[in-house]
Amino acid sequence: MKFFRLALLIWATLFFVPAVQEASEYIVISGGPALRYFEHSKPFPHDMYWGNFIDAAETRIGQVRPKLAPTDVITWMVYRPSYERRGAEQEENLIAEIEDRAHKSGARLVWFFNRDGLIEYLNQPRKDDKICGLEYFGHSNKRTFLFDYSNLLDGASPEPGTLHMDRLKEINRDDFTSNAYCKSWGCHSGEEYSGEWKRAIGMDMWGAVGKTDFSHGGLPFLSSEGGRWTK
Amino acid sequence: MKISSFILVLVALCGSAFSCIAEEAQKPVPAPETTQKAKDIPHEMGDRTGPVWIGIRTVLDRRSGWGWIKKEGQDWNQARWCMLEEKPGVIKAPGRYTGNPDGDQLMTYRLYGNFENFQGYEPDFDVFIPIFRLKGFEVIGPGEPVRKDPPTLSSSGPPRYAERGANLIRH
Repeated sequence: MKFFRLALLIWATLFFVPAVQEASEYIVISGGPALRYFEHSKPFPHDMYWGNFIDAAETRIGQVRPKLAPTDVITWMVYRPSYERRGAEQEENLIAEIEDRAHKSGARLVWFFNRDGLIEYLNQPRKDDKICGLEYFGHSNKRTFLFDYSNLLDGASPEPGTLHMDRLKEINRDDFTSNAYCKSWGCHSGEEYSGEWKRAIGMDMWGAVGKTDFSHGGLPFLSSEGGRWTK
Repeated sequence: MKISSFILVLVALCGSAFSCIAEEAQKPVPAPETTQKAKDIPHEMGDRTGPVWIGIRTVLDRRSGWGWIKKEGQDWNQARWCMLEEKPGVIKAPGRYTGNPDGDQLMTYRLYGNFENFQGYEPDFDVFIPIFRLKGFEVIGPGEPVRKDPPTLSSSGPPRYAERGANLIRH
């Protein structure tokens, strides 16, 4: 009889206790555009269109959404200072535009103002809400994510608006699920940044060898001869 | 024989590529029309109160630093390689008055403003340098090149050319 009750208990536990669904977080990061003030006279100007990194992120969010569990959350982190300054330059409220697009995409919008704010967000206490994906859209070179490029400074970036690979060890490995998908859509990340990401955070990050081109809208494509994605 | 010739050519090419990069970091970009163009720069501009700094515009290939800046009375060997923070609509870099931001090569100025409490990143050289936040300036006149090299790499490891981001031109 005791055995029967024990078996019943185990059966009930297995079949009637609702499974706790882990709600993971998928993070999409958008860096900011350059100012026309700095770029307009250059032979190869950057960011004639303000929304390259917004359009691409929006496209990607639309692709990722159906692949996630219903309880998963997509967080769209956008570097705000560059959009404020670019908005002022072209006399448009880009902040409201981005907020509207985020709302329509179903992603939760989180503005960040500097590297420390971004890392603080990633490193918040996480139990069941670990990061199952992280993708970056923005300016970069082989060693740095440049959230702020040619926006405060001509052809350069203020240090708080960068995430240099030397700082990656400040991101906790435990923030991520063991099989998290990470990718940088910026230029050259596959040449050094991906390797340092693996060393510092313990997981692969896909990145480009060569340049990526956002100029045709949507997701960027590899634009250098011999360019490829690597991790 | 063929292989050794090939290796020799390869070594020569690599050597010239590296020396080219090194030279570019040291040699100011020539600007023969600087003096003529510099006439378009207003003699005084902006807020000229507070401490005075002396700056010499030094355009170096692929560098996003503006030039060398020192305190008044210091030698140029104490000058720092700096970026200039402009405020569009309020104060712009003197060279922009020439119609070309690099059109004031080797002009010297009295600069008014302060250093930011954070540094700026030069993407092509992977280096962080001071940022001078410009409030105003006065033209002093043409100067001589500073015999000094800007900083090269902030990271450890061999020198590597860190190319900047994509050419994003979507309208």
